[in-house]
Amino acid sequence: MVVSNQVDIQRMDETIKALKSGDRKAFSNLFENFYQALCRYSFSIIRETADAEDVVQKIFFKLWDQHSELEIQSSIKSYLYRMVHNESINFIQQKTNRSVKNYEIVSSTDANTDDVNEQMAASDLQQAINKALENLPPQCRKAFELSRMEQKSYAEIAQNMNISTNTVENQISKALRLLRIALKDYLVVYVSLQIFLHN
Amino acid sequence: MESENLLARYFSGQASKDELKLLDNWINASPDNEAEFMRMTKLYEITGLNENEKPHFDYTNAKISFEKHIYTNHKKSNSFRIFNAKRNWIAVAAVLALLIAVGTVMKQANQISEVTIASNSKPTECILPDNTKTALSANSCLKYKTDFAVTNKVLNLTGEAKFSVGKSGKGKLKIAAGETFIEDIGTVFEVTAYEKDNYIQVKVFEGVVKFYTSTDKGLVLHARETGIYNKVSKKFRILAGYKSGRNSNLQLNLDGVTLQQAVRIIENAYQTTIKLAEDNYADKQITVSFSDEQVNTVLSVMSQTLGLRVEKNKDYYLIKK
Repeated sequence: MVVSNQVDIQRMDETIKALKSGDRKAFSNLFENFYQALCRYSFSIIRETADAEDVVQKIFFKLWDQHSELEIQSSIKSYLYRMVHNESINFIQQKTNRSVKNYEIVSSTDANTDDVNEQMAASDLQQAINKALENLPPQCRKAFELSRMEQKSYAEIAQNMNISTNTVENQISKALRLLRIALKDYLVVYVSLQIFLHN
Repeated sequence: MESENLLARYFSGQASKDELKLLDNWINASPDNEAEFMRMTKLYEITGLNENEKPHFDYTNAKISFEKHIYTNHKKSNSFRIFNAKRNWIAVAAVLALLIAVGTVMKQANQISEVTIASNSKPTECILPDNTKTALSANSCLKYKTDFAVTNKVLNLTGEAKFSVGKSGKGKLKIAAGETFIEDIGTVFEVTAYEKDNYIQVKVFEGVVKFYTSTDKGLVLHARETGIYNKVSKKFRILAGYKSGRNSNLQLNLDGVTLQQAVRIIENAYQTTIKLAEDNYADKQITVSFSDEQVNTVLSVMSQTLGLRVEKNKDYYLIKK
């Protein structure tokens, strides 16, 4: 996953150059390669399919409209994910009525995956995620879930848990660190499996 | 600020503009940092989704909408140079005079004539001076002047040809087919303009084209759309088109077309492959309309109308008895 190969870096530079020059084919390819994954990521924050699609579409439109001013020093992938993340968070924060989302509620809209291997892998991963969350210290887990699942601000979480915002931040940092360690192996496999299955 | 806390603030939506800038700098500092950022992004995503959640995203229509946007919103380059001629007026005037003189001599020396490319009974392919790739169907003819792509790019077409537009030379590609003009905005498209037919048809594979006459502004066709001009009624019509907007749907208006025509329009609109079991089906006439239907339904209804049936094979649909 680490871009250390010179050829990869060169290809990345060429792609960014093509985008900056307004190469429509390059933009079409970018859209093909990243649209669905970015929608899924946005959905994981916004929890509404149509809104997630709107956010991602808006990002691509913006990228095109401002292509001559693009300044990307990292990979285009991490740049896109950052844009989508920020836009998704803005969307959530601007919504006037924020309803509480229970991440355990099933909200399947299209379960058309026939691939048994993918289903099994997803199930294993979900079990690992559930276990990793259960193993978090209680305060840590609560702070993380209020932030991740309910998109509450540090101030709201602090008020809810009767702790300081600094403590909230530390608890969420800790949660991410512990989850990162607990899911390290699954994270690599999951990403690899996605690439394998979708290529 | 420690990267852990910075990432936590970013993912929680609590990072200020300055902190987002710090995060950008941290990511850009090394490939390892960027890889770590992507791992944390993936972690953030999977902890927010349930295994039973498999949201469906309308990629097809989103792509059409995006391509409409990029092919109809030209971004001019911001950079241009202002030549400061304050100190060099005499030199500039001298160069211009020289260029005009040379140009005049060259024009007199080069007689502009016409190039004809004819395919006769077999399809043929050629590359035009501006790198436009052209696939001429059988019994088709393409003509252009020898100064093509020097000042403009005008072609005359009789018959049928598919164009993948090149980017060299000057001017926008413009095809004169009968009394219609087809103007490119950076595309791949096919023009059908046989003299024996009472129509001229344009099918777009990628990008956008304008399809018009000198008296009718005609149609603007996008990828996967097909338009037709009736030489008798002098009217334009969309045979396969997408309504604009996020929930765009495909409208098919196949009025008095042959089965062969219909099949090729549907292939382009749905990006699929359709074969006819027998050649004699090709000229059967059909009139059908569909709005936002799946390709299975379209082919099934169309086949039944002609007393035929459709069979789904691995990579293509087959229309047969």
